[in-house]
Amino acid sequence: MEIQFDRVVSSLQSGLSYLGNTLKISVIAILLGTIIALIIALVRFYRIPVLSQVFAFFVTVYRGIPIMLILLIGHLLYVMYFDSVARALHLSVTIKDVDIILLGYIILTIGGIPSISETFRGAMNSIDKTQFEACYSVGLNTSQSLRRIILPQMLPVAFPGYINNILGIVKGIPLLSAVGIMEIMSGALVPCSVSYSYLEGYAATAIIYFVLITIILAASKRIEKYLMRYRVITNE
Amino acid sequence: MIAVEHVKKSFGKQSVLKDVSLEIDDGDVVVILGPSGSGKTTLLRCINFLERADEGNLLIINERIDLHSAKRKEILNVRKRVAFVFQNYGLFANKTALQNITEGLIVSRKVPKDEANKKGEEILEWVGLLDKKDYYPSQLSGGQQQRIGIARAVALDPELILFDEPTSALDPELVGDVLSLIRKVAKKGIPMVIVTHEMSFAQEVANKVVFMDGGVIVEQGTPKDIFYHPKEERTKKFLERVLIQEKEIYYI
Repeated sequence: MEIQFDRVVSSLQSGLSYLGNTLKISVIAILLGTIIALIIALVRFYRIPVLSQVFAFFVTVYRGIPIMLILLIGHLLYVMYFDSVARALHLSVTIKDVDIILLGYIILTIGGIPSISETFRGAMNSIDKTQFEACYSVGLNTSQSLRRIILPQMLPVAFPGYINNILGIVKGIPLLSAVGIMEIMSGALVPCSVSYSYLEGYAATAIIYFVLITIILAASKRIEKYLMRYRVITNE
Repeated sequence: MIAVEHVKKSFGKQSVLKDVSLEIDDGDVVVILGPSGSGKTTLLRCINFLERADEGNLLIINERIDLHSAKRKEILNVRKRVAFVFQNYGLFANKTALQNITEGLIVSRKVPKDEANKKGEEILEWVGLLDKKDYYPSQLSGGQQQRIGIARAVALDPELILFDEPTSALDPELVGDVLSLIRKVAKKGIPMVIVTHEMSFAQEVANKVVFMDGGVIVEQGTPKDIFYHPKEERTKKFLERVLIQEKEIYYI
């Protein structure tokens, strides 16, 4: 069997037509996941009673389950209960009116939260206690300290791990094809079902992902440099 | 006049402060001496609410604040009036030297940015570090960082400055610069409480020396009283030990 480049090209085209979907899912899952993860990390860092324990339980459970299973279970629940939940909330929608991509947003957000929140929490723990005390001693309140001093120091520490978490989310997107959500991989495989050129389809998917992730990494390098600007190491 | 009254604090079962009271008059430079674990640092931290006392009051210019159950607003009020200098400097790592000084002015005291920057530069000039204003703490030596820590405290125009072992994290050759800056601050007349192990500095700069041991104030008085005519056995023993050590250093 030989790889036929024209089929790779047609898979690339077909896959890229779903690039929008993939980006939409990535951006929403990353943004939403980051915000929720940050809240969870802060609640657990400050040991806010009850919430802290609830989140710790949530994180432990979701870390212990493969994301594929979360997806399949989520999909079944979605199919079984969407209509009744919508009715209970007095929404005039049924499952047929809603793009199943919604499930993709939810599952990947949930899938990303545990690892991102642990990355943030670890980075918070690495900050010297005196930094907090110094904030208080000059009269900053907790939210001012967080915004102006603590988070700007936490982010560069968290960043390498955070980028890993993000890549995990992006690379998790092909899993969504298992429940019929169209994204790059399922798009790239559309022509293959006719021509049986699956190797070409997978190769095309790999190429698109590789380029996408290379772009993310290049951008992350710049951001990291910016975040690290105060950690100057001199040889003087 | 500023005073702390009947401060008690324990960590778990270990009682660190057992009913400590201390008066600080206008322009006073109070030096607290004592072996490690005597509670001197904890006392300072309680005054600035970095540690919650179990009991006790802070009396600051006719206002009495409960050190145990003060509300958030009262705590903020105290912190706006009482500045703290940390043992390991505590400069904001993500802020430049100038920003370290202006941060509290701009954010907490709502001083306009231009005004705060002007004041910050004046104070940097005063501590001799104006040329380092755009440097981050990681680019400065320990002595320079502590001088900026002190500048940050002075910039807030506090009614009291607390120094928690300001030179004990420094290389020996950098201690002198920081001590002479503290002398300069003392000359401004801002009341201060200094926890230190620098005995000769304590003798020279203090007008009141407090000796603490085991969570209580054992003895207090003028430097002359404490260093040359200590009354209590524990004070004598402590001074003998430290002063001999200081002498030995000269022979090495």
